[in-house]
Amino acid sequence: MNKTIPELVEDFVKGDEAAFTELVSRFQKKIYTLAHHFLGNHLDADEVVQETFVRVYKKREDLKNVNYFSTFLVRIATNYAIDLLRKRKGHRSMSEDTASLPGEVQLDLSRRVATPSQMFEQKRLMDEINRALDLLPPKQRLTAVLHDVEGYSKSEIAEIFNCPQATVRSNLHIARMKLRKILRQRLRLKEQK
Amino acid sequence: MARKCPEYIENLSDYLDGGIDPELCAEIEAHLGECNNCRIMVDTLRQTVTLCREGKPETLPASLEKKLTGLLRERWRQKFGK
Ligand SMILES: [Zn+2]
Repeated sequence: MNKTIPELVEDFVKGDEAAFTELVSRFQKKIYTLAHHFLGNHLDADEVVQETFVRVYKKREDLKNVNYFSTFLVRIATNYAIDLLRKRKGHRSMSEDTASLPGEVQLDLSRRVATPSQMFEQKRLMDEINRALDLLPPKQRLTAVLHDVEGYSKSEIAEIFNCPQATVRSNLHIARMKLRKILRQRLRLKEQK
Repeated sequence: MARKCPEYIENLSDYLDGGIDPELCAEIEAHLGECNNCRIMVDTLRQTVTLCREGKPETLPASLEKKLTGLLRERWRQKFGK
């Protein structure tokens, strides 16, 4: 039978490598998607995934006092992603990103999109949103990505950042207001009446 | 007694997310009924949030997932020598 996350964590803390590998395979997708949204390219997202699990491994003693493994994980990932973002200073490119993938992966990426016009629309939308997110300070940007793109709750985000929910709410509101302003110019959001 | 627009705008995100005191919610809705600016604000804010949700790309391809796991194992061995 499949072990639960707390069981896997317990085994991992005791030094079970198989438990760690299982945790990696259960959570890597989540961390990758989050990092990709936040950093906007494959290479950085890949680096965040690897570094996150390396850090989790090193900090495994801390897991004894942790209630939710996924919160612990996402906190490590977001901290590292913020560092990486500061290092990169907002330098990113969507096309460079795709070009850097091996051929096999590029094929997969093109296969999941139905028509060229849908692909174009989706890409344009992603580009617009990523560019808008780029203009926000890291904390606001991550809050918007976590809540509005990834669907995390405000209490989860508060836990991740180790801050009051009121702070999450206000960061989210400021981020959305800024995004609204940017996206309104670029996408001409409908203004009825 | 009546609030001003910026005070309503402060609360529009919470209003959209539904996590708001029912009394304030009713007050906001009454205000939206009579204030064009705030109505435009809430409409465009809602569309912004919707766009972010729609913009979510599909998760990573299976081949990439395998590659990542492989890569991690390799790093694991390099770092911790096992
Ligand atoms: Zn108003």
